[in-house]
Amino acid sequence: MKFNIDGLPIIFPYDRIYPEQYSYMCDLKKTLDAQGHGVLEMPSGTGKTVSLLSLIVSYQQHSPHPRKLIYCSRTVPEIEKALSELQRLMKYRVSQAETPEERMKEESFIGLGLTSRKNLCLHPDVSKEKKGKVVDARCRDLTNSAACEKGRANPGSVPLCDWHERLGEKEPGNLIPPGIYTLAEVLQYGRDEGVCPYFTIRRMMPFVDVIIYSFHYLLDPKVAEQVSKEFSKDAIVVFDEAHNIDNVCIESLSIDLTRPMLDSATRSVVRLTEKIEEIKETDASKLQDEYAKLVEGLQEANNETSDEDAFVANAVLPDDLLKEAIPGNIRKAEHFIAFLKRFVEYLKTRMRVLHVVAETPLSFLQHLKDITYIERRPLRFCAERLQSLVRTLELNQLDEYFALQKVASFATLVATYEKGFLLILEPFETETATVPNPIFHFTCLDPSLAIKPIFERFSSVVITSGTISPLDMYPKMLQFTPVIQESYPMTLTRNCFLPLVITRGSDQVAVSSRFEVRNDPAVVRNFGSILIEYSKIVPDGIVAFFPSYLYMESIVAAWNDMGILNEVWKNKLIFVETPDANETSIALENYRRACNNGRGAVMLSVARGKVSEGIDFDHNYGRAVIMFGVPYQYTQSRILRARLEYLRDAYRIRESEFLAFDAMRNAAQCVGRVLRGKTDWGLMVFADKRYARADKRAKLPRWMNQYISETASNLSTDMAIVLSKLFMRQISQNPNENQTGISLWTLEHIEQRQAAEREMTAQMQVDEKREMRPDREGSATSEDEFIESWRSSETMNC
Amino acid sequence: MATKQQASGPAQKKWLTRAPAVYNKLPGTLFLGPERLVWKQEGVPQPAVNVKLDKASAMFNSKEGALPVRLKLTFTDNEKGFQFAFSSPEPSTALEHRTSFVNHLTPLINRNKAALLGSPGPGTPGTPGSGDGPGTPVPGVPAGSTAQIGEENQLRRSVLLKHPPLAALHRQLVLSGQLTETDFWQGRSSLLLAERASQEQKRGRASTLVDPKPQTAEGGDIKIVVTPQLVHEIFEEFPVVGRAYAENVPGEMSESAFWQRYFQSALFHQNRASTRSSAPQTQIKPDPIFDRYLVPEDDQPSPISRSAGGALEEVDRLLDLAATEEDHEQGGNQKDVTMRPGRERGILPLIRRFNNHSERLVKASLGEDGRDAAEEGGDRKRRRLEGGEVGRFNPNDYYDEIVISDLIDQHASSGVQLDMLNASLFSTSAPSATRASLPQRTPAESTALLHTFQQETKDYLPSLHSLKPNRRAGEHALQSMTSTVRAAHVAHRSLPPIPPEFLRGMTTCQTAANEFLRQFWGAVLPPPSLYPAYGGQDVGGGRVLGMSGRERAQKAGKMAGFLAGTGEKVDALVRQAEGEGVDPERVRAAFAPLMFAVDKALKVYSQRRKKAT
Repeated sequence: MKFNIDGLPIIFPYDRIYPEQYSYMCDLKKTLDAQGHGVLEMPSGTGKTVSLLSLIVSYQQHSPHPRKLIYCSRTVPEIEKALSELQRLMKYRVSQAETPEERMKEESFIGLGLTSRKNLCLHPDVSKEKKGKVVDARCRDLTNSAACEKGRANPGSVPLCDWHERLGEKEPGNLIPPGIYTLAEVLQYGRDEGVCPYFTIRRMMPFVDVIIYSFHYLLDPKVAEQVSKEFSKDAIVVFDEAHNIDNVCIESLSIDLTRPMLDSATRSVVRLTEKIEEIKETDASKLQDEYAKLVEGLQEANNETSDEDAFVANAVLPDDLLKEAIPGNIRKAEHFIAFLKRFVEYLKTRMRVLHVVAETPLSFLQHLKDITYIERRPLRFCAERLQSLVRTLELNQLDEYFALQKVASFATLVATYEKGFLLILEPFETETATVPNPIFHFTCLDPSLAIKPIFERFSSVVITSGTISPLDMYPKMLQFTPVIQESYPMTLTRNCFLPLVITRGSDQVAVSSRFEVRNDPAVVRNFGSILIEYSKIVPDGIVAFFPSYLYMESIVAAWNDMGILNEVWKNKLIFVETPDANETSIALENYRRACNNGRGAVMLSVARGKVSEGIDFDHNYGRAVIMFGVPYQYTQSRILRARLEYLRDAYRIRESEFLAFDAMRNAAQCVGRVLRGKTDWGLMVFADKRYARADKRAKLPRWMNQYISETASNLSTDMAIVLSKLFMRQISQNPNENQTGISLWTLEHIEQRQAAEREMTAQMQVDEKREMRPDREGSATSEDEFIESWRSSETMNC
Repeated sequence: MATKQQASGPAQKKWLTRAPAVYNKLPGTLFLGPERLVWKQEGVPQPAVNVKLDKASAMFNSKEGALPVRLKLTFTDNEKGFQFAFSSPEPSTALEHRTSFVNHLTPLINRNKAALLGSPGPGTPGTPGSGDGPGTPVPGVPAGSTAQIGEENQLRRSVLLKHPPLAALHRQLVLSGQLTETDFWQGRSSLLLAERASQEQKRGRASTLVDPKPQTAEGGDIKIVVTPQLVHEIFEEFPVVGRAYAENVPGEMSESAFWQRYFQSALFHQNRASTRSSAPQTQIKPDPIFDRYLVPEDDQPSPISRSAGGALEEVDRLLDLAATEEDHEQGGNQKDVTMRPGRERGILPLIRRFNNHSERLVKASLGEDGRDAAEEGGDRKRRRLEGGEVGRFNPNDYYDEIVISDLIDQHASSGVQLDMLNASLFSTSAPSATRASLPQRTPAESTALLHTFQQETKDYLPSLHSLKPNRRAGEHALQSMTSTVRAAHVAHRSLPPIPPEFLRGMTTCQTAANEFLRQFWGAVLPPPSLYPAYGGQDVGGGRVLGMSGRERAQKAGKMAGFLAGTGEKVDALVRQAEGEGVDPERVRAAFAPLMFAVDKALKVYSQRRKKAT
């Protein structure tokens, strides 16, 4: 359908629209118009992605100077889905185009997705590698500019990648015909044309209208420097499924160092030394050139870095610093190597300590200086300097230098940030362990640090998800001021989902995943009987989430020994999430087949785990979700404790408040995955007595909380089963009930709404001028008429 | 015990063997003929048992040496069967007698079993079952093989057994000969369809894990009962045990020794589904044979199949979790201890076993090639990837997953053509007129016409929206309704009850006439669109639905004849009512709606006939 929002013509690729979608689009438009940031929460499964894309593409196509869209999602399946949505939208737009020019314009729209080389490689050998790191390194060996130069000058001397070579034959900017491609389609295109999909996308990035990739490509400075630096300031940035964005921010600036890594770094240093000796004898001028460049400043040295050459970048250095000359004591290659060696040795010494140490970067630097005389300034340039050296030496198989790269990044980070970070040395893995396995955590405590450059650089950043309540938490944590901050309720003609809170088993023993009681046999059995009872009454698929892997694994064992799983086996098949991603994907596939086949299955998985992120359990794939316990984080973790302390001191977010917020957003995320569309239905079971408390539930998204009735918020298992049965009996009736006008709008409804809004604004303007006069006419006459007609019909009947 | 079938004199038959035997604690003689088994009580000429042997399904002997010597025979339609005890005074003679019976019966039973397995229709091997081909029987022709008819009858029978009122109607109309069997089932094909569907549903395997639980017998011995069922399950679940069995039995050891050693071996404990209760290693004796079959525990984070060098299995892209892991370098701090999967090594093999077991069951019910089932999106994608890079990627594969169907307007319908009563009246003038006028109307005119029409009808509904029922009127209406109901109720209560016998007569008349009406309208109205054939097969009802026009006309005529007689029947009942002491007017009133319907039907019929002639 086509409609206008404040003069912007919108093309929406469906015949109907949900009221939520309409309001969402209106608010999104306001955000873009204001060139500001926004936080928008829209109920899961009500077509958030399609509304977002529909509005932004309309916006782009309407404006004379289109702004690029950078759309970030969490997982590859979600990226693929978003691309597919975009493709469907563009197809619709092409079909709706009225003039040939419009049609041309729609057809020349380009949208691509980006993922790693590992996921996109076509090279027969390289793509067989199991680790992404190795694929990256081998790809670089085959495609870096030095190798290409040699290979082209003297074919056969150096192995090159044919797919990459063939790309050079094409005209830049026209590597792929315009249109929208999913990742699978780009791969297929690469196969058909014999070109490299990864570099096709990378080189097309300056020309695309929409780019879709994961958060890390924008948030992680190491990656962002390589792939995202060219986007202009007016680009629209969207973080979809952004409920965990703070964690991604923190992740991208945190580093762990272990003893084996330091050993490997030492070996790399030795190898580098050898390499330098070698090159001194064969081609000393290279090192001289590098030295000269480094005198000029870092940026010049790294300027001609092409996509193929870059291997570890660092965006944390401010621009003015990048223009500075590299400190003299690490300019010479040998000196830099000696410097690195000293630093690694220092870290190794620190690791010998057998008690936990926590210190700030400043105190770390002080201690470092006292012991090794390493200054802060050269340390900051470590990562950049290493990159320059690697390029000069034309190193191959960079994956072997991985540990050294990490040490260098660590050095740069620790010397750059004073606040918002903490170094924690944990000599033992667990409290009970006796053999030391030291880990040096360099942990970022402030999520706003990583996202700050994004907010500063781009004018419109939209953070959106199905579950980002409470909304004000995000601006607080990420330190930005949104122009729009909105959560939309879900309009329903009938309740298509039933949230239930089970606080106790049928034996009235309270259920909870609280640490003290979680392994109590009565609690374990009561959790088990919830699963048994639901496996009896719910058709097709049931998904169950546990607060942690540790708990899931122990409870699965306990249930098996108690014979609880035997009862479940009688009704449904059982699939469990495993540590291996591919294995879990296969289990998920089989789970879906069991649901399609009517056999029905139970999927046991973990909140915050692999499955809870990005896998949908809509329709028959999830008629019930059971959240066993509250998915709190492990509060004994030192890193978490440090973060909580920081949040309290810096942003005045109370520890308990943050923990509850974090647990509830994850619980909501898990149960929210059952719905897609308003005719879909599902049960949402929260099994823990702590969910009965109003302050916990208040942290659930508004659209979910609004449907938890008072009676349903404190149930025993048997009562919940009765309610669930009743719900299923009702929901299985008249599925074609007409929702139009209430939870489903046609074009007329939109126009009515817009007219009403216009009227209201007009009215408000009038109101300001004069007071409203009460007016009551018309109703009386119609009433009398009605009685008359009623009487006459009555007499007829008699 | 009831006699199964009264048959003509068995004395004329030539018996294969005979012996004195006790049945139901009565002494007598058991005879076995080539087709029948007969038992006669001593001194009673009529045989108490006389059964045909073509349904004999199984035979059971009492244990060798046990007294009395018994023989039990069961039948497919009589699972309880008959049990005889051979009553010769000498046990050895009795045993001899039984052996001779057994020898004669064995080939018979084997033949029956083979026939049952070989063809769906009993007794007609070789004829294809209706499920074999999608061939649609030609309408109007007594179609299908005998097996098909037999199957159809079987279905009808089970439907009747499940619906007693329908069975009563069937008795009344079909068995009395008023309606043919085919007529009766016409329009009831949905019942047959449902019955067939439910019969065709195969019960899948029970999904419980194979985990033989040892029982503790007296004296602290541990006992595991090995049944053939269990053996089968163990072999299926653990192919390695099957391999061990094949390689070692009976060469290395006997079967019983095999199981004894297996249940004591480390292999058994590895295969157990339990983690906590598994015996500590010290209790398990090393077993040179079984330990060879031990495989390393699959307790590493990535499964054994892959760490051995296997490649990643292709999965549906929208479920591909590994792609996300490989999407970017994993940075950040290590996860806390609770969030690291696979820390408890002991449980991983169990979890893997769950997944594998479930996968096996899904495959068992879908078949290995269940992946090719076209209805499933994920599998389609997978097949494409497996079969090399065939064809271009079809983006619509994802559309199932992303399209929100509610938002698509599915209410647009093609409309139903109006079947006018007196079409002939209009057919002379109107169509020619419209045909003449149609080409003259330009698209613009049509649009304008449509527009004016819309304009005119636009304001039709809104008045209903603003309708506000007035309280007074509502109360008044309700009161009058209540009082009417009450009056009717009072009037009804004051009436004398109708004698049950007479009431039954009335009901019978009513249901029969209803059935005739149903049949009549079924023949007169346009046939409903065919039911979607279940599983690609033609359904039993399809044949009946597809009647030719002439047949339909014949049937309508016949039904109209029956209906015309309804009035008389009702009149007869009314007259009878006086004798029964029931007010004839009440009877007439009770039948009024029926008569109205009958009149209507007859009127339509006469109109049709007029039109036809």
